Amino acid sequence: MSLWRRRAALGVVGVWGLVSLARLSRLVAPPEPPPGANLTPLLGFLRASITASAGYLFVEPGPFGTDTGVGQRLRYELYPRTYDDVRAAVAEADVRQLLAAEGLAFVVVPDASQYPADSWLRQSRDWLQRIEFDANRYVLAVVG
Amino acid sequence: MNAQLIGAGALAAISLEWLGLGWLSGIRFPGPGRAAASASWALRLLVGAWLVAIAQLLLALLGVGFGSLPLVLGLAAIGAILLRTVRGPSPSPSPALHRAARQVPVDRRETVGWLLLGGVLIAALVRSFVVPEAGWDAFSHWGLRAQAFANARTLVNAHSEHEYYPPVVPLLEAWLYLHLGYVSIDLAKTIWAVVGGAFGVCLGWHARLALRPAWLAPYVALGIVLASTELLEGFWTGQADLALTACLCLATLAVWQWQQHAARGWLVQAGLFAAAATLIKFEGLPRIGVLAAAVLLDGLLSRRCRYWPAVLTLVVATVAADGVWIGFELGHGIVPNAEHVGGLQPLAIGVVALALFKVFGGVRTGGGVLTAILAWGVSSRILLEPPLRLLSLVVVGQALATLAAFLLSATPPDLEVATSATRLVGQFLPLALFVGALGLVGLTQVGRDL
Repeated sequence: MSLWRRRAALGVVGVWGLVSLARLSRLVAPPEPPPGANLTPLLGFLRASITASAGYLFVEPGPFGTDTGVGQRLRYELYPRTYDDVRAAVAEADVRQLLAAEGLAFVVVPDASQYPADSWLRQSRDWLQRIEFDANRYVLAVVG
Repeated sequence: MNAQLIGAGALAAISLEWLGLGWLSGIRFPGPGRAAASASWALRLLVGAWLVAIAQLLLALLGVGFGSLPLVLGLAAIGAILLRTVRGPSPSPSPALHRAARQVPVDRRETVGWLLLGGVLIAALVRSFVVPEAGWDAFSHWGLRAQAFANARTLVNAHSEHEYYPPVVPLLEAWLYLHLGYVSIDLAKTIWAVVGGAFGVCLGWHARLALRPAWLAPYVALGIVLASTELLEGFWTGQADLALTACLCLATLAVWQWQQHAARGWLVQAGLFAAAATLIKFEGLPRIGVLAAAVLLDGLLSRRCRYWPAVLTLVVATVAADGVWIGFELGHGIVPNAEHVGGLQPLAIGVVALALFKVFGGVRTGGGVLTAILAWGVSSRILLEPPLRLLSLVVVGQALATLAAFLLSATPPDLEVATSATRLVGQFLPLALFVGALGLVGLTQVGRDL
C-alpha cells in the first residue's frame, strides 16, 4: 500500500473522530420543544367542547413544508376524537362537503391570527357556531 | 421525578422479560469466552423484544388481545423455544471462528473502549428520561397508535396519519404502558434508548468478529453510533427509524457472517431481524428486498450456490411477517395503500441532489455521510472484493433505493428530501460506516485478513 493511501486513511479516521466529537454534543444539547407546545393551555377547553365520540377538522394555515406541529399534537391529545386536516387553500364549500362526508362536527382554531382576516375561519357563518376560549382561540361547531 | 422512577421500573421489568425470552431462544454470539457471553445479552434483549411484539400481533389477530401479560409472555416463550429448535444445538459450528474468538482476549485498550461505548449509551438512556418527546410523527402516528392499543389492549384502528404502517413500534410502547398502568408518551420513548443501546453493543461485537486487532471493535461501534445521522437522536424520540436501522443492520450483518462461517444461528438471526424490519416501518419491506437482491447478486458474481439459503431465509421471513400484518389489515378495514408513491420524476435528479446537499451540509447532519464517503473513497478496492463486497452491494443498493424513493415521491422531491432524507439515509448509514471502518483498518495494515 502506498504511503499516501495510509496517510489518507489516517486522515479519514481523524475526520471521523472530529465528527463524532461534534455529534457527542447532542447528548447535552437543549431539548427540542414538543410540537404545538403553545396548545397546552387550550387542551382542557378543547376536550370539554368536543365530545369524545365526535370528529373535528384542523385547517393547516400554510402549504406542506410550513407546518408547525399543531395538527400532530392536536391529533394525539384529543384522541379518541376523529381527526382530519386540510390546507387553508381549500375552498370553504369543499371543506363543508368534507365535514359532511366524514361526519365531522367541529373545526378547531387554535390561533386565528394564522389565517387571513377574510378567511371563513375568522368570519361569521350561519352554518358555524363559535365556542370561544378567547377571541383568537376557539372551536367552530357545525350547526347547519 | 416520581414518574421517571416508575417509568424506569417498568422499563427494567420489560427489559428483564426480553432478556429472559432471548436467553430461552438460545441465540447468542459465537465465542466461548465471558466477553462473547456478555455481548450476547444485548442480542438476546433485541430477540426478546421482537418475540413479545410478534406474540402481541398474533394474539390481536386471533381476537384475544394482549391485555393478559402472562398470555403474551407464554406465547413469546413458545416462539423462543421454536427459535431454539430451528437454531440447532450449537450457536456456531465454525471451529475457525471459535478459535479466533478464544485467541483474542479482551485487553485493557479494548476494555476502555467498551467502557466508553457503555458510557455514551447510558448517557443517551438518561437523556431519554429527562427530555420531552419532540418528534412530530411520534405524536401524530406512533404514540397515537400506542395510546389507542394500550387503552383497547389490542390492535385497533387509531385513525392515525398512516394507519396502514406495520405495528411493532406502537405495540412495544403499548407493552410498556401495560406495565406502567398509564399512558405517557414521554416515557414510551425510553424503550428506544434500550433498543439502541443493545444495537450499539451488537455492532461492536460484529466488528470484533471481523477486525484484527480486535481491540478496535468498541471504538468502531462508538464511532458509528456517534457519527450516524439521527441515530443518537433516535434514543430519545419515539419514532421508528432507530428500530428499523437496528433490524436492517443486524439482518445484513448476520447474512454477512453466515456467508463466511455458515452457521445456522446466523441465518436464524437474519430471518428474525428481517421479519422485524418488515413489521416496523413501511420502508422495511423494500429495504429487506434490497438486501435479498444484494445477496443474490453477490452470489451470482461469486458463482456459488450456497447464497440461496440466505435469500430464501430473508424472503420467507419477510413474506410471513408481512402476510400476518396484511391479514390483520384486511380483516379490520385498514386499507393498505402507497400514498407516498407518485410517478417517476427522473428530471428532478438535479433538484434532489441540491436538496440533499443542503440537508447534509452541516457537521451534525452530514458529518457521518462525509466520513463514509471519504472512507469508501480511500479504501475503494478492498470494498469491491469478498468478503466486503456483499456489504458494499447492500449499502449501494440502499442508497439507490432511497434516491429512487425521492424521485417517486408523491410530494415535490425537494420537499420530500428536506423532510425525510436524514431519517432515510440514517437507516443504512451505520452499515456504510461499518464497511468504511473495515476498509480503513485493512488499508492501514493494522488489520489482518480482510
